[in-house]
Amino acid sequence: MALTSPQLRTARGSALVAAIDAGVTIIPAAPARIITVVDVWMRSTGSTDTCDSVDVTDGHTVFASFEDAALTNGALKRIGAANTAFTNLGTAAASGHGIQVKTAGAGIGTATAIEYCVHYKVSSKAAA
Amino acid sequence: MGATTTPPFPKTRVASGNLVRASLNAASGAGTVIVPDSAGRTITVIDVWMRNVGGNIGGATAIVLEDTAGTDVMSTTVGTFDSNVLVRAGASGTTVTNLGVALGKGKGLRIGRTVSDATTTTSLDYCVLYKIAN
Repeated sequence: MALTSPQLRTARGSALVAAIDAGVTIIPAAPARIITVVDVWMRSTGSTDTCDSVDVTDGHTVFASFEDAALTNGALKRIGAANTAFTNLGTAAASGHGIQVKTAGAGIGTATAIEYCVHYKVSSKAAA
Repeated sequence: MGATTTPPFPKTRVASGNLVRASLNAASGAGTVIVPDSAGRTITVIDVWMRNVGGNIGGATAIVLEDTAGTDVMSTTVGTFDSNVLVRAGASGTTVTNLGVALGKGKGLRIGRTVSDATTTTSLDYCVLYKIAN
């Protein structure tokens, strides 16, 4: 019997702030695949002052956003905590879009790297 | 042999979505099934978050994630669900008696309310992580 719930997948890693400022692809785009981000945590090495936020995004929609005030040095912050935004958490990205971790606003000052853990599921776009 | 078997590295599955208020109140408060029954399989819920969309939930006593036999996994008092607040299992206001516990064989999962119909809220986002054993 087929199970109806998709497998949870995880993208976890760490990137230098210069790469985060430019945008790091953590889940590559796949044709006709729909990614839904369902949970996120981040941890900064050094405080993320200067930037507006560090976002999990498909380039069009922000699924999770950590304001600079949330990412204090060495503190693991889960989405949903103070100074985070999550309006589109659990909303499917557009078909064929990948997922990035990217700075919004000015580049990150002080911090050297951002560690991230993004839980997501993948579904297929129904054939026309 | 009849014994319950679990793969050495069981996959985590995710049930996530949104239930409108009417769905929470459906079936005399039992609510709506989010993972259907599956004969011979046992579900263990390992993590949960929920988020109220719209005004603060009123009317009901609690919002409950349970198996389809009525065994509670997570019960959250409605006062915990301020608008747009993400509530995680283990947070203040939640009771997680059977989180991490194997539920009834063959049973699925549902989300509903207790005592009275939920009012005011538009809908509830949910994300339930679980594993399955045969």
